[in-house]
Amino acid sequence: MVGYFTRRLAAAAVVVVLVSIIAFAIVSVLPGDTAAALLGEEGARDSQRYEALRVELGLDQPLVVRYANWVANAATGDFGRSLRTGEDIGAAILSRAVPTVQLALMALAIAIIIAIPVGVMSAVYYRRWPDNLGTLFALTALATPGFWFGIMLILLFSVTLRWLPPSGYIPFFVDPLGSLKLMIMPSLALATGFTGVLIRQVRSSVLEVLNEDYITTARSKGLSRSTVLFGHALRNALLPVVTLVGLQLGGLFGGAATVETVFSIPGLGRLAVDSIFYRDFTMIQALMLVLALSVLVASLLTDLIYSRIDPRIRRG
Amino acid sequence: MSAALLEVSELEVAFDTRRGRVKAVDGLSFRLGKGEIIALVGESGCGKSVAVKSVLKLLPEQTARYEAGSITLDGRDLLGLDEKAMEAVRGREIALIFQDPMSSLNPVLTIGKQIGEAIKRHQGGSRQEIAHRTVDLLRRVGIPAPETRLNAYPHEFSGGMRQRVMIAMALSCGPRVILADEITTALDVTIQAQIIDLLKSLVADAGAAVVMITHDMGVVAGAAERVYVMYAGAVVETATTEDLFSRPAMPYTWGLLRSIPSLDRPVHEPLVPIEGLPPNVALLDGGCRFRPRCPYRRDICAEAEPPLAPAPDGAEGHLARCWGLDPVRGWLRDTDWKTDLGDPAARAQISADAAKIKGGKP
Ligand SMILES: Nc1ncnc2c1ncn2[C@@H]1O[C@H](COP(=O)(O)OP(=O)(O)O)[C@@H](O)[C@H]1O
Ligand code: SF4
Ligand SMILES: [Mg+2]
Repeated sequence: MVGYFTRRLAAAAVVVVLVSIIAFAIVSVLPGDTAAALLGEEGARDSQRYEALRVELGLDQPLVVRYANWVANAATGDFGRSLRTGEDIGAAILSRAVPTVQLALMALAIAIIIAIPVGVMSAVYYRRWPDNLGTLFALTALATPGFWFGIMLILLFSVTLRWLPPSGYIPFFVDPLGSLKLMIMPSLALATGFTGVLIRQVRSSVLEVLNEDYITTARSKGLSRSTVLFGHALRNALLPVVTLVGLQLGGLFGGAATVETVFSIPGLGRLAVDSIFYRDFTMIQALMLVLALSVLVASLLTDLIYSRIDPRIRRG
Repeated sequence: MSAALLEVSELEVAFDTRRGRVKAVDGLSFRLGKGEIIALVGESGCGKSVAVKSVLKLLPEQTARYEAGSITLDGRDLLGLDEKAMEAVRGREIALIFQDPMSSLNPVLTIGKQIGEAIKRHQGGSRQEIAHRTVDLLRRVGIPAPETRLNAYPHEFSGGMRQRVMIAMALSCGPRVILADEITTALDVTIQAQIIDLLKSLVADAGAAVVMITHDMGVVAGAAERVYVMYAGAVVETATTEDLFSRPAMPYTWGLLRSIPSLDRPVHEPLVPIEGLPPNVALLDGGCRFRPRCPYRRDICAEAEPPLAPAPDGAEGHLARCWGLDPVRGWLRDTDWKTDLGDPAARAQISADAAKIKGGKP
């Protein structure tokens, strides 16, 4: 087991290096540079000021040297300052990450809580009305844009019924109940597409497992249908589901950008959108790296959970 | 013949598929006496697994249709039982061992759990009692150091050891009937004999009866008292093992016997495989089901299905399904199957047909 995870970590390290290079390279090849962004369109035409600022920022140095400097600083948590707001990038990302993580975790929980029962029911009642209903639900969820669903939720629960506050953010540790009330609608909005995908995955993997020989073995022992389903089938069926959840976490962060905008949540997604609009290159670089790191951590966690379920990996 | 413990008669099973309803078992009959071992032999695809799964009603409910016939255990009709009543029969009165021990154990559960849950389901008992009995079963099937293996997972066992685990599981609740579906097919040749011997000695101790399903005549010879030869979903010949090997009556059985590799066969004499494609119940046309591949066929074979009638040797319970054995018009009653391989023209035609269907390959 130790060997397995050491190998996984080594692979992850390689990925981090690659992503850092890509993040750096993409921003470097984009038209315009930090100096131009700082000076604005007018100022950048003054080539003397422009060149001076480039030297000051180290932009005149070779790409490799700039990359090395950036990595060395990033490793100590120093990503520099935002071109847009001037705040420290590390601190800014950290404070914006909290709402996004809460949003993503709640969306994940909602998706799982809905998808497992619906998917299992669909598989058990394959091609009968509960399956058709479940499939209709999954496809609807899949086809519904999260931001639109979010707006509909606001119209219903905030504007018409006045049960929930329409937007804003309170940290969970300051006021747990208030925080949950604010985050429930954004989480639902973020969870829609993911729930649909997850239902389809649960359904197909339960269907597949129910055709396995060991399921017939279990039935041949005289076990009841529910014992076979929950005791034998479900655990095997969840293996591909765990993998899918791990893979989709990155997508959830992406979806967070629109949902955070709709609900005015000061999260990473909105930070990214704003930074792109303002060409805040240093911030974009840092965000890409952090996002890649979090996806990696998610996939390592996924592996850990997977290996808890599947004994063949535990010792492999 | 002893009183039947398990009797399958005129069983017909079909599946609803995209291409319509397709028959897999077509008038199958056999009977199993108390403590007896019988063999059901036939090529892959002739409906053996469907037949044994029907006995426990384990076929997919959505698509499987029991169209005709009956299955009785001690006179009690099994096909009429509902799911709850069937659960009480499965594992307790009739147990099943599958072909592939690699895929028939659940990979994420320990073998202690998988054997124990059968005991718990049917006989109950405390955790320690169940663990104790499981260890005892594992010891009886020859698993070394069974106390230490309760918490092991299937992937930690070899194929032969997993099949021993499956046998332990089948024996766990003292069933009267064991259905063994090709239990050695997936194993190394060296291990096959061990597994068969183990099963034979254990069922003798337990007084259980066994239906041994196989496509390998070699397995049959040493194990079963009576053989049922199946072709395309129905029995085409049945006899005691001794009669069947010494005086096989009809062409399909001849073909099966010719294809057994044997030690005393001279090296230059090739194995004679049965020419043509494996049986397909869906394509039956009302004549003899073996006719498309039979090198002894005549016009009458296309007209009607031959009945399962007493074989020419007159041995008790030796029945065969072939027009060539008809007491009046039969042309195969005195044929020496070892030297006469049938009409050369028919044989050439069969090879040509097979090649055509396979897509031109010789
Ligand atoms: N669940 C199923 N649905 C449709 N056809 C099936 C199903 N199971 C088996 N069959 C068909 O029934 C026939 C007999 O299969 P089987 O009993 O597995 O043969 P074997 O003698 O090799 O055990 C085959 O043609 C197979 O394709
Ligand atoms: S009935 Fe005809 S076709 Fe069928 S086995 Fe006998 S000789 Fe061959
Ligand atoms: Mg089979």
